[in-house]
Amino acid sequence: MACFYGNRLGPFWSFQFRCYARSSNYKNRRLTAQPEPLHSHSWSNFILPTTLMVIAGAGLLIRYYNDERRAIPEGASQVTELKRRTINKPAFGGPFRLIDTEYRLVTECDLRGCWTLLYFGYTSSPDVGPEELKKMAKAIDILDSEHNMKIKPIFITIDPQRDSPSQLQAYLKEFDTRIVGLTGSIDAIRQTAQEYRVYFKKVEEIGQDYLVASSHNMYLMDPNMEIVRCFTQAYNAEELTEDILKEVKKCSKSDKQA
Amino acid sequence: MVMASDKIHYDVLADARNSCYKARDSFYACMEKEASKKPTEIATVGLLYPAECKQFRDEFVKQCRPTWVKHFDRQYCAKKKVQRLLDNDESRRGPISLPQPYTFKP
Repeated sequence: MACFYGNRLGPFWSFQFRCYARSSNYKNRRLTAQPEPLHSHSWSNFILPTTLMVIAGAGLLIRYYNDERRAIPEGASQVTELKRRTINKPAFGGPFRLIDTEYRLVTECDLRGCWTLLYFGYTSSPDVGPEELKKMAKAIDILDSEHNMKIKPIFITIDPQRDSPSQLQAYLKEFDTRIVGLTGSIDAIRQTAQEYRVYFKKVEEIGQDYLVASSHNMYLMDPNMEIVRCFTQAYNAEELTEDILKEVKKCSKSDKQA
Repeated sequence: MVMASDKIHYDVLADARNSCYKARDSFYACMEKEASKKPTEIATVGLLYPAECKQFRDEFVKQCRPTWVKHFDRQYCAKKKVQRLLDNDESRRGPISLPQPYTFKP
């Protein structure tokens, strides 16, 4: 009867009523019932957690030993030194087939053998593109005249539908005649951009006109066409030259050591 | 393999770019000068400008591509917003300025 009342009035009340009911029953039963055996399942209660802990401990031990074996030992030979240099670099770069301003085919094999500075941009950029190209031209100039270091500047367009080779030629010669302009079909450009992890997307389409949003990064590649360094927009021409010099000297020094 | 047509877009080469930048700078300078006047004309992306700068605006729109105009307007709006945040101008603050001497203003 008390339980029935409790259920109608809602959960809180039912809880209270049930508590009272149960306590009265308990008091009634206490006089008659046997005391329950208290420690019946205690032993089996302990087995499961201990086995779990033992398994976890074993797993940790195995991983510790594996880590020790996997770690490259200090003071390694030349081979592991080179491997470590390539391991620590991000996996950018890859083969590409593009066309330069003279309608010649250019692949990454043609660019091996000297340091290159790569920039992905497009000619219809309102302000960032021209600024970056001016920076690039100035850096190449300083490196060539003051430090006698030949770095090949390359401009790959991310807007191949509007940037034909002749357009690239007309655009780039205003900055520096040494800058090599590369374009190609949209598939080739997309593949190249994917290899170099360059993001680009058409934005702000007004009729036939559009801008291309992209990550304005300059990549410095060593003679093996591997990424050494990535420069963002924050660098100006002087800092760019300093850092390029540092990288080239570091590379030539380690080559001499090896 | 579809190649781009061999057309050369002259409005992105150096001369066109420089004249575009000049027109843009003169327009924004006019806007700064006439900042006290009420902006009535509509530019792109929510930017408004006073009628005194109309001829500069026309020159700007003529010299630059429409996408460039929009891009520069957006940049200008962002710059103004940051300036407003850094400004110490009390009149543009919110409704309550602390510390308050009393809770309810008579």
